[in-house]
Amino acid sequence: MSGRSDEVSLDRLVHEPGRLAILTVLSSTKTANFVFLQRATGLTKGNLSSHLTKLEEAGLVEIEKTFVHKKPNTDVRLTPLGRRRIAHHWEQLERLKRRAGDV
Amino acid sequence: MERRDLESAAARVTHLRGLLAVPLGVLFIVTGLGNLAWGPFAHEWVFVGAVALLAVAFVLINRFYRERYGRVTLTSRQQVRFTVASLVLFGGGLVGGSILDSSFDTSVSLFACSFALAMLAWFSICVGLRTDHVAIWGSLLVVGLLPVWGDLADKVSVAWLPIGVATIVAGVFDHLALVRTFGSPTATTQDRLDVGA
Repeated sequence: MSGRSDEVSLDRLVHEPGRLAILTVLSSTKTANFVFLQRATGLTKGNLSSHLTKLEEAGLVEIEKTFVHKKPNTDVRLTPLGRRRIAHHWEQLERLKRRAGDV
Repeated sequence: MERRDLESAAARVTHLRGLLAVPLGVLFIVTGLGNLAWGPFAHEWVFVGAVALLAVAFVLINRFYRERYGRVTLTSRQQVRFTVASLVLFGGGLVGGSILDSSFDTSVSLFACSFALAMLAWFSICVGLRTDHVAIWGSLLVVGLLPVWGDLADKVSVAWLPIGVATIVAGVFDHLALVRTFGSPTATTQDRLDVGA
């Protein structure tokens, strides 16, 4: 991941399509719950759950479980680190796109 | 989905919950009928009862959307943009329009026209203008510009009726756009029950 300053390196944890979708959706929210994330990303319950666990372990999201109207509710929010990582990742992708356009 | 679609998902789910506009549109119609003292709406308690029923309907529809499409809180910046646009445009459209109509003796409905223009601006800022928005609010604008309003004794009250109808129709179209984008509210209820991470 190190090298020349104009070198493009992609964050593998973030680059996986499911996790990239989750983080991108979360980047325009303060907080979102599990049902909304499923709707917005189109991921299955199992996939979403497993990606969220990985993102939480890496410190990119915070997960809070509560009960709303006696039903389980999972709220997810980006951590400051998560917000930086997703912004940086999109910058890198844009840089790659520009570079591919130059070739 | 593209980056832009993903980034705008929260705003779209929030602003396309169009069925919430149905009780609002009915409230507009009830307000017009109440002001005109039409039929049972001549009694004040009918208006109060209708408002209470519409408030209950609003809460139930909001709960329906939260359960089926999830909960999301927009960023502070988006919330400020939405609140300012709503206050300025709804305030301008409703209050400004009715004041204009009461102040000037014209054969058109300045109230209906200003509300239609305000809604076109609101949708373009908050949701993104679609063809159905242009058709619905454009139709209201045309209705407002018809030179038939001059003969009416209380044209502001009458204008509430087409405004209410346009609000309901626009709400239904927004709901359909939500279903097209994020899926049917009923098809995958079981699958969407929260299990968490």
